Amino acid sequence: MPVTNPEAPAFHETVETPEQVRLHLELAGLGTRSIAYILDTLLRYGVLLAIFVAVVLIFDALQLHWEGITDQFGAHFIMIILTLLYFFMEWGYFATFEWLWTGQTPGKRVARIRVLKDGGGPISFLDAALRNLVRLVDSSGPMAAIGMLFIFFNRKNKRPGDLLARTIVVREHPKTLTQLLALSELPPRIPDDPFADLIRRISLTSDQHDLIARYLQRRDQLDTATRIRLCRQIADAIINPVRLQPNSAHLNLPQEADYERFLQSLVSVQPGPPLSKS
Amino acid sequence: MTTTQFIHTRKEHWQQLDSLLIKTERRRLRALSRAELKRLGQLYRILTTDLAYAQTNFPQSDVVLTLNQLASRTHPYVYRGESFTFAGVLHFFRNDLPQTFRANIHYFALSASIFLVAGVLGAIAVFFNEEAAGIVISPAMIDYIHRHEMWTEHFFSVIPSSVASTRIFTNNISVAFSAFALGLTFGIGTFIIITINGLMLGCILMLCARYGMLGPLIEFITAHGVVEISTILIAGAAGLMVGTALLNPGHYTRRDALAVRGADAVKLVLGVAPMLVVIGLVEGFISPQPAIPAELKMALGLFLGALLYLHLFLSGRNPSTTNRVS
Repeated sequence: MPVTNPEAPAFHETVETPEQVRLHLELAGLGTRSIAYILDTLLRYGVLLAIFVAVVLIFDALQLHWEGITDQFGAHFIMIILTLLYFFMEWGYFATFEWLWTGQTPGKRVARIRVLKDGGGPISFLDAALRNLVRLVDSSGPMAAIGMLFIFFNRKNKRPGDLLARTIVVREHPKTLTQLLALSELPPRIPDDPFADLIRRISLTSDQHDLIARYLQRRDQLDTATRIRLCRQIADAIINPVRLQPNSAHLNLPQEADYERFLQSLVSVQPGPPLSKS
Repeated sequence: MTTTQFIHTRKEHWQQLDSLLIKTERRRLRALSRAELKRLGQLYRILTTDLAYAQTNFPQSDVVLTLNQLASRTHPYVYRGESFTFAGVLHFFRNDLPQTFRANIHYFALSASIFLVAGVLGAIAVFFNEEAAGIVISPAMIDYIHRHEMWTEHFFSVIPSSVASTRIFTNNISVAFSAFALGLTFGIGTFIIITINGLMLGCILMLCARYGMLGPLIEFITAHGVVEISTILIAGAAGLMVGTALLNPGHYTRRDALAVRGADAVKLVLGVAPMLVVIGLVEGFISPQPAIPAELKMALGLFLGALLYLHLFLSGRNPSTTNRVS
C-alpha cells in the first residue's frame, strides 16, 4: 500500500468531478514515462524489424530481388504494406492507441500510466493526434532530451505535446482495491478466550479500532523491536484505563507475551461502535 | 463507524465496479452490455459518495487513497467525449475543416506568401547562376535535366505506380505533419520547410526552362501539383499558427494561446492528410502516364484544385450546421 499523502501539492493534480468530489490524480514522473516510451519504441521498431527481416528472408528463399521486381507473389503488395506500416509506426502508433485504449499505449499499459485531459476526462482523437504529432519535436531520437527537460521542470510534468493538447499523464494502481480488502479482513474469533471478561469491559472508539486493525495488518512487515514496542504501547493504552475501574482486581490481565493475541481477540469480538446511518 | 466497518458494508459495490472496470480496460466499453453500462454509471456515483464520506471521516486512511484511485480509473470511462462515428468524420470534413481554414485564412496567406517569395528567389538565383540549383536539388536530378530527360520517367520505369503512390503520399503526409510539429520551434522549422519547397519549385522550373524541359515538366506536375502544393501550404499554415502562438500570444497567456491555436491547427493538418493520399495516387498513376494527353492532365489538375478551394471557401457556411460541438 503506497503511503503517499494525497494532499501533497507536488506531482498531484486535483480534479473536481461533476459530483463535487475531489479526485487526486498522481502525475506520472519522468522515470515511468521514459520506461513507457522505451517499451513503445522497442515494440514499434521491433515489430517493423521482425516483419522486414521475415520478408527479406522469404524473398531471398524465393530468389527475388528488390529492384525492378515484377508483381510475383504479390511483391508490390508487400512493399506497399511495409511502407504503410513504417508510416504508421512513425506517425500513427501513439495517436491510434491512445485514442482506442482511452489514453494508453502498450508501453503505457505496462508502466501503468494513462493520458487524461487536464480536467481528468478522457482524451479525444484530436487530442491524441495533437500531443503525438509533435513528438517529432519533443520525443523522437535526440529531441527526447527536450521532452525530458520539460517533464522534469514543468510543474505538472508536461512535455510540449501535453501543453498543446491540454493533457496530463497519470499513474494508476489497479491492484490496491484487492489489497485494501485483504487488509481489512478481521482476524478469526478465538474460542474460549481467557480474556473474555476483560474484553467485555472495553468499549473501543473507532480510532482505537482502526489503530489495532492496522497494527495487526502490518505487524509482519515490522522488525521485531518495533513490533514489540508498538504492541505494548497500544495494549497498555487500552488495558490501563480498565485497571483503574472498580472491581477490576479479579480480572485476568494479559501478560506482555499475550498482547498480540489479546488485540486480535479484541477487534474480532468488537467490530467497532454501532454503525451510524449513512 | 470504523474504516473496517465502512469497508465491509460498502465493499460489494467497489468490487463490482472494479470487475466491470477490468473488463472495460481489457476490451473497451463495447464489451459491456447495456445493463452493465448503466450499472457502471450507478456504481461510479455510489463510489464518489463513498469517497466523499471517506474524505470527511477517515482523511488519513488507505480507504481514501484506494477509493480515489478507483474513482480516477473510472472517471474517463464515465465522462467520455463524443465518440468517433462516421457521421462525426463526415461533419469534420464538411464543416469543421473549411470553417477552421477560413477562420485562419491569414496564416494560409502567410504560408503561401513565404512559398511564393522563396519560389521567385529560387528562380531568380538559377536564372543568374545555374549552380545555385545544386543547393536544393539533388545532383542526379540536375544531370537528368542537363541530358534533356525527365527524371520521372526513370523513377516510374523502376518502381510500379502502386508502390510509388504509397511512397509519395506517406512522404508528403510526413512533410505535412513535420511542418505542423516544427511550429513548436517558434515557427522557424515550419518556415524552413515552406521555404525549401518554394526554392525547389522555383529552381526546377527555371532550370527546366533553360534546358527547354518546361513542357514535359509542366505535363508531369500539372495533374497533382495544385492540390499537392496547396495541402502542404495548409500544413505550413498550421505550423505557423503554433509558432505565432508562441511568438505573439495576443490576449492569451502563451500557454493558453498554444492550446487554443494548437486545437485548430491540428484540424487543418489532419484534414489535409486524406487529400494527400488521393493526390499521391494521381501523382503515381496519372501524372507519369504518357498515354494520357497533357490537356487532360491539366484539366484534371485544375478541376481538383478548384474542388479543393471551392470546398474550403464555401462548405459549412450554413449556420444550422455550425453550432455542433466538434
